[in-house]
Amino acid sequence: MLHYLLRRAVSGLIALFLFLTLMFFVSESVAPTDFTTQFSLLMTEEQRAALARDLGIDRPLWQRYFDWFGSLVRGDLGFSYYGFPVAEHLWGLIPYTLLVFLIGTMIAFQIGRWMGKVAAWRGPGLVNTLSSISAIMLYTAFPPFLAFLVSRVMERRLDLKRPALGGRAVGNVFFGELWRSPRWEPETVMSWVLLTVVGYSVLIMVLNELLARRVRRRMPTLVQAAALIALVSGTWYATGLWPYALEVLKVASIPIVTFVLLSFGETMLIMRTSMSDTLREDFITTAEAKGLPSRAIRDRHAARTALLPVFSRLVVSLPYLLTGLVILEDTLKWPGLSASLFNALYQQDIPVVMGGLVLVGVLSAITRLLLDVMYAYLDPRIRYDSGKLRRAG
Amino acid sequence: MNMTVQTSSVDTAPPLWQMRLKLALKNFKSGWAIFKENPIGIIGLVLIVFFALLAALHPILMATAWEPAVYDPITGYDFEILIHPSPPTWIPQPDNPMWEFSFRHVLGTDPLGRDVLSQLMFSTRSEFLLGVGAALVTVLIATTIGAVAAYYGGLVDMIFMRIADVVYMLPFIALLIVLSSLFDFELIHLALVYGVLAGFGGTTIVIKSQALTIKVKAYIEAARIAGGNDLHIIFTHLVPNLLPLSFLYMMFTVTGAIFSEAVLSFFGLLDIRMSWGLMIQTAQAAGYLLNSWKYWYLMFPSGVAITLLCAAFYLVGRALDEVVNPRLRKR
Repeated sequence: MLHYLLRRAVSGLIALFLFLTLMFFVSESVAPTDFTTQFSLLMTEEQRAALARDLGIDRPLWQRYFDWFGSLVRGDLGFSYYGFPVAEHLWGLIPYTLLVFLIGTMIAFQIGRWMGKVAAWRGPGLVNTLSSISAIMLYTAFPPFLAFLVSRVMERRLDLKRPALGGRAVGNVFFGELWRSPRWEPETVMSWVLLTVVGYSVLIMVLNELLARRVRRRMPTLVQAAALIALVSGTWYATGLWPYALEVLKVASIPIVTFVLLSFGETMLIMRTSMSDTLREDFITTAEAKGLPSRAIRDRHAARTALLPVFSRLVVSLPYLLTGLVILEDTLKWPGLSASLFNALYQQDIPVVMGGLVLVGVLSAITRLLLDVMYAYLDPRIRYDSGKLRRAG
Repeated sequence: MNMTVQTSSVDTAPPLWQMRLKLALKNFKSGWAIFKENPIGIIGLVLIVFFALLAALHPILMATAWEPAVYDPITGYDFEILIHPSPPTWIPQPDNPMWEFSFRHVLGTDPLGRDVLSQLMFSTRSEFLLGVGAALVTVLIATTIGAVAAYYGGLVDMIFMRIADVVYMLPFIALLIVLSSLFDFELIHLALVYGVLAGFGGTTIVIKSQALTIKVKAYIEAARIAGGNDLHIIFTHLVPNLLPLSFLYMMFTVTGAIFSEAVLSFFGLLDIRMSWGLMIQTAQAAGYLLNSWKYWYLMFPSGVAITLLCAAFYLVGRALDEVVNPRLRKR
């Protein structure tokens, strides 16, 4: 298993390297003119040359490439053409993007898994067709349009004061009494929200697995959800994070809901296909013949096996999920990664663009690796692979 | 090649092309029988036909019922309506004393006084062209590379598959956004770039794995023994058997291409005269989505059209999947 993961990690790194190289040359070489001639019209020739020297864009392309990559390896993203450090700028945006992406993916995955399971279990029929069609419609929906509908439905209900749809300038999305003199900045609150939710989910998952090994039973999904909510809200309450976290989630709910709607369809479709495949396997017939209750067959025998292709497909569709997020953030004025990517593109601020792309690439590489770990854990063919190797060697 | 030997030995048999046509027709019929069982595919097909009709109707309407000065999708302006954008004319407007029931603008007018329905119909054609163009490029590349990589194996295979792995991982839209904001991107460029990206990426991997299973069939061996060279075997025996799968992936490519066009022109990054994404962009740039619900008729037609056409090709693709993959049938 370790061997497998190592191989995946190395191939992910190579892909990331190639992607960044490609993007560097594309963005550096296709820009109509360089930054100094485009944005400093009032300068004299000498001043322009001096500025180019300052920014380091008078050197040949290959030299800049090696410089940039060298500093990237050292963890330094360099400075924007407008003078601020890129890493610091992007660091402030990560919580926004991750909050929507991680929580959205988690919810979408659970919904898709459940719906696919139930649809396949029911077999062909009206419910199945309708759920398939609506899942596909949501999956192929135009993100700005969907965001428009979702914000229409939710804004009134949540009584949100949000900047309206559209436009490019992205600023603060948190208004109101609470944020006048807050104990925590919104970014800090977001990081904590993320940390608690993801941390406790992982904790519950691990506990569940331990329980399954010891007593061969798992917690029901409802108990898991209740435990998660209790733990998370308990922690927030104890640390005084409660009102802030609630407010952050309220504002973030529109992007999260839109993201969930956009991305659960795919999980559902794959789950349904692989579940119906699994239901025709011999071990399902055996389980039925043993007289097991149908719930147990569905949840314990079929659904667990059917989950594998879903994971492998999720790995593949990650870039699509991330790009869907980019569009969504821009439409809803959510100040995440895309906001910075777009603004930087408009200002031809190549270091920031490249920084944003590095972040997208790294984010997708990390998530891919995490999914690989889960996949390796779930798939016995991979799990036992290394054991065999050790015995042979 | 060895065709002359075959035909001269069997004099009474019909010519080869007739046999092929008959076989193709038979395949198509059995495929259609499976396809029409599935309501998903039928719904997709109906939607595609509907949009194709819309596209075909536009020039006819422009030539007959619609006056070009008013209804031109790009330069038209309606002077008889005082305030643009205006909602659909068949919806009663209590606060407008000038209102009377008509089908003058079925979907209303946009901020520049142009008829929305006309824009919608006019753009449909270019969406189809883009989708089909991108899909053809994809399938051409993917089928050729898939067949060649599977047939030769070894180094060729490895190189193409590593390229496919990398292209597969690229965040598509991010790349397109960077490209299009730095270039002057036209529709044809988008079709090419999208087609090439999709062709080198995931589609190749799927088609190659299919080609591998065909490569070991007995008739390929027979063709080789009969003296067919590599090119002959690849293009007359391997590729035709890959076409059903290629056709299936064409559908998914069309969805992706239309979607990315909509996204790019929504951001105003595409050099295009009129498209669904641009219609929303126009409304947004003019600030009409700030008070979003009041101007729903600026968002709805193109938003629904993009969603439906993308979904239509995807639905057809899903249904075709069952025709091509026997494993998925009859559940």
